[in-house]
Amino acid sequence: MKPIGLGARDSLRLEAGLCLYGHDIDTTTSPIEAGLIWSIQKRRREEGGFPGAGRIQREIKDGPARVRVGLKPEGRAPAREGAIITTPDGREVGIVTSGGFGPTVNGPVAMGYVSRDVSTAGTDLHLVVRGKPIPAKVAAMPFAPHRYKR
Amino acid sequence: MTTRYTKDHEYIRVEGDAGIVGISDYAQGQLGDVVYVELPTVGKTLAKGDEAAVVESVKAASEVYAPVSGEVVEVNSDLEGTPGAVNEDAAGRGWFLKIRLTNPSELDALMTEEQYGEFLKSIS
Repeated sequence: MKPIGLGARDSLRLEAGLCLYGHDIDTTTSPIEAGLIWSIQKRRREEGGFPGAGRIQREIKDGPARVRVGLKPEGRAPAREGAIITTPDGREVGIVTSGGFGPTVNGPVAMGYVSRDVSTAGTDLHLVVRGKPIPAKVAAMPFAPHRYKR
Repeated sequence: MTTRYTKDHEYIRVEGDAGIVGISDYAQGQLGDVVYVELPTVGKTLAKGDEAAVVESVKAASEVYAPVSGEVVEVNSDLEGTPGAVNEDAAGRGWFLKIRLTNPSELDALMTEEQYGEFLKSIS
């Protein structure tokens, strides 16, 4: 066993596709947008009667406006939290909420929220890093296979 | 050949009217594994203190500032494929760019090797 720091933990959880509170989920995101529907029991999803049930039930029925997705930037430049996500023709469709270098993937990885119409895996998008658009693809998460026990 | 250092841990190794710019061995150690370096385009004119490059490690993105004013005459494009050279050999293979000095007297305001050593002691 060896001690590790927050940087190592952050790259591991990002490659595993796990949310960091305050970054990938906060008081404005819903569990449906974040892909965390598994965290709500089936009975409660149907019966409602808890804070936010209205929005959650509506998003289950109609689909959320934005969705948390994995993003795989082309090349080597990491896109970090706060990078604007656009379509290749420059329409703003979302924002990166976590991003960095994935040591297991050996390349940059990121996650963020995008409009549902551009959230399918394989969709070409751009991540704006220091004013420059970097081509990226919507990618399935986790980026690296889970090898931990729940 | 003289090498000068900034308080932001850039070095410039002057050879004739040009200088090789990079980050110090101390800086690479603080950054951790370098995974990407964004270099300026050759021909770009930089004023002292301008952002000359960006170095990204696993931990963070950091700006590299021009230690002197001048024109970028060469960049180390090998770093695109092997950014780890910054960690392995910051003063050698890990150089960032070559700048032609417009005002060599700006070097006088920078630290010598010895002064930089003292500076590192003072901040550690």
